[in-house]
Amino acid sequence: MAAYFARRLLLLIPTFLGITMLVFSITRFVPGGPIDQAVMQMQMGGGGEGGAGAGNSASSVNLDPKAIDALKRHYHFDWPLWKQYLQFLGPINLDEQGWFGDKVDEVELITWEADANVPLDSGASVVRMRMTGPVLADPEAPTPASTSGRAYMPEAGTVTRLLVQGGERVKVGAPLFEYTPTGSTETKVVTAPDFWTKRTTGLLALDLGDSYKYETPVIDMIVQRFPISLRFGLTGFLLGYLICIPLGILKAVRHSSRFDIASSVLIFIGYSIPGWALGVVLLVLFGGGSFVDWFPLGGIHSQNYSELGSWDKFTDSLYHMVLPVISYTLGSFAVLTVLMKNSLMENLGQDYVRTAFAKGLSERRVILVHALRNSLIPICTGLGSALGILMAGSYLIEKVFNIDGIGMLGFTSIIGRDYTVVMGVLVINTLLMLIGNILSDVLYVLVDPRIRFS
Amino acid sequence: MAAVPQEKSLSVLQRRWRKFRTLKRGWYSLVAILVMYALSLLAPLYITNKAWVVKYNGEYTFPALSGFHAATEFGQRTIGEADYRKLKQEFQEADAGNWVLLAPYPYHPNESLMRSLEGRPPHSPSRAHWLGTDNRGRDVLARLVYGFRISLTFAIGVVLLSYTLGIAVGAVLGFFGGKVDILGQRLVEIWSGLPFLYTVIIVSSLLLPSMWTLTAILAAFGWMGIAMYMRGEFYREKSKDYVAAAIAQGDSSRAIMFQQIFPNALTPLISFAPFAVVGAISSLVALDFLGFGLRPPTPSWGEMVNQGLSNIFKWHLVVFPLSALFITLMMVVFIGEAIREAFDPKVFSRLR
Repeated sequence: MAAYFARRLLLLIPTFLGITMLVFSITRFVPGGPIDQAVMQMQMGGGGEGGAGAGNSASSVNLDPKAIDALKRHYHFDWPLWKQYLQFLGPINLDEQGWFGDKVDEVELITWEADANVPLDSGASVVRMRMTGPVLADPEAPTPASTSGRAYMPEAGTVTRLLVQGGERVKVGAPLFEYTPTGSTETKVVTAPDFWTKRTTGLLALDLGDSYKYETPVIDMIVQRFPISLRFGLTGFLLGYLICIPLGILKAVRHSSRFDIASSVLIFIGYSIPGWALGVVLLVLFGGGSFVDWFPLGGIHSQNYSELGSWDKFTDSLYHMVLPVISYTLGSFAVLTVLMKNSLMENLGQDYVRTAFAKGLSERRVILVHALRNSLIPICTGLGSALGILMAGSYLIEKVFNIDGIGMLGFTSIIGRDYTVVMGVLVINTLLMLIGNILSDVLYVLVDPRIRFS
Repeated sequence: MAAVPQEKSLSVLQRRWRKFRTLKRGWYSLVAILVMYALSLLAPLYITNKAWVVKYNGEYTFPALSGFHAATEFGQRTIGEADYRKLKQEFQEADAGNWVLLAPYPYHPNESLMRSLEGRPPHSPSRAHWLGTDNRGRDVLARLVYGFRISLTFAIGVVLLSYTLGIAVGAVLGFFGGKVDILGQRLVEIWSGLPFLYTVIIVSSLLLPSMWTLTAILAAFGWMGIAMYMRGEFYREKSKDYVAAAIAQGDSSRAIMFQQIFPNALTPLISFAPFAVVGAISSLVALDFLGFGLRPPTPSWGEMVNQGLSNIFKWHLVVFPLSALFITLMMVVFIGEAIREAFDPKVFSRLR
């Protein structure tokens, strides 16, 4: 048995690599990647989404061919696909630009995204620079480590002139841009801060890279959202079990009674309407749209959440959970109830149940102790694969209820062509699913000693 | 004297078909859905902004059948196609013996009615627009009916395509076995390890697919279950005597696979099919809802629900398409249950 699971775990590796390879190639082969996006953003007047001063005509995104080449080098798009994949996989850094943790004295500046003549607060990331390989590690900066560097305004002021062009190499300490502090006429210069190379890279080093868009580590973004997804998914899932198991038992015991038939209607409804669709209906009915306003329209907290006391915080969260959790529960409701019912009915027809009755045991004891224990076997094994389903089912429900979880992250990253995040979410989902599958086999063996895998 | 058989003995399939017809819920659902599908296929005849008959200056034209007619043909002064609803009004006001017979529901699903209706879209249900209009002022009922047609056509396409793929792959793996099987199984495993919805969204966002491309995409990521099932069937059937006999006869591998074994593995495939249709319809609606489905302005239920979610005060944009979805899926589930019951005599395998 141990050998079997060891083999399963080993087989997990090629499967996992295969899946990541597949999606990695898909995201690299097709158009619309970050470079196309950057070019498009420039063509549209440098506005773009999330840029510091969207829609400003004075915006000086610098994207001449040299800069595009530099951008390609930065994302390693000039490499052959296999090399890109290996870099993604890690933990070896194939980038010749630097090695683990070395301090470098020269970096290549790729793009500027700065708005000249726009007043900015001190500390604002006025100038977003993308650099090849090395990472800015400015201890003063709000987010110290990132593949692209940021030069920060030391005080509030207006950028008047950019001194470096995209594609140029800059020495540490070289002047980057000029600015005039607010309420003053003198011109000051901001110089390039110190840079270090990125220490480790790649999936095997538990590094999923940095988001193209937000320039924060993908793993952080996922870790931050994981508890949110888990809270909703897990609650819905457990609630599903709490409802479905007793309901299934009742339906089996009272097979073809009026109760059985009536609850079957519910099950048909549950099977026919997808959970997210029910979520939309619930929102329209109870979210203060056209009917009653009992529950919030989405999100995970009220706006004044931070001002609430701890008890109010708890109830506020709970209040936001009601509708999404119902939607999650519906997802597993029909299948689980029917599974429970059929499984119990099958066992009730077995000889050992008849024997138990013949011994003079009460009906309650026969059903709840003898038959039920065996009937729970197929239900138990579902626990493992639920791990994957929990995540997979969430894209739609999180979108409907505007819950900022993993599903939402995956969804927005696909829209924004943020491939590192797309890959990161995929990696996490796939891992959970593969591990869940093995887990359900382990559970199978644990609850049913008759089963022998070979 | 031997008893003369009263009637010709029925084949297994015929018996199952008879059994299926006795299961009223499933049988009526099948009839209803076929009728609805046929009606929706004919929708361009009766849910259209083209008039049935126009009598103009003593001449009859039939735009619903003959297609495009310029506005100038009927004395309208606008450029482009004639506006028959307006034409009807004009003719009535002029009272010169010209008349227009409009279609019973004279709106096209992609036609914006913003100019002819008061107020801002989406409009609530009214006598003219039974189910209201959407955020571009397009008639919801018209879009619902055309959406039904598209959803069902799409779902059938996806199921047929994924079945074809799955059966082909499964048959090859199960029949030839050995290294092909081991390698193939790994590949199928990798393929099924992809999170379905997520991957489809990624591919769809990159390709901006047409209806047929989207069918292919969904099929491409949905054939693995069938393949693994067929593999098992072929693997089991391969060792039976009739296959050995066929081999001894000198039949080709392909003939054995598809003439001998395949009919024996067919039954469960048929009983899976309705549930596969349910899956395909739900996937399409979900994709459209997320904005990664069919390209606008294709009438689609999911897109309407998405509009409803951003116009939360317009319940008709959510309730009608979702009811349509729900009723359609429910009927397909009923069909599926009945087929399963007819095909699988095991007592407790039903949903009820």
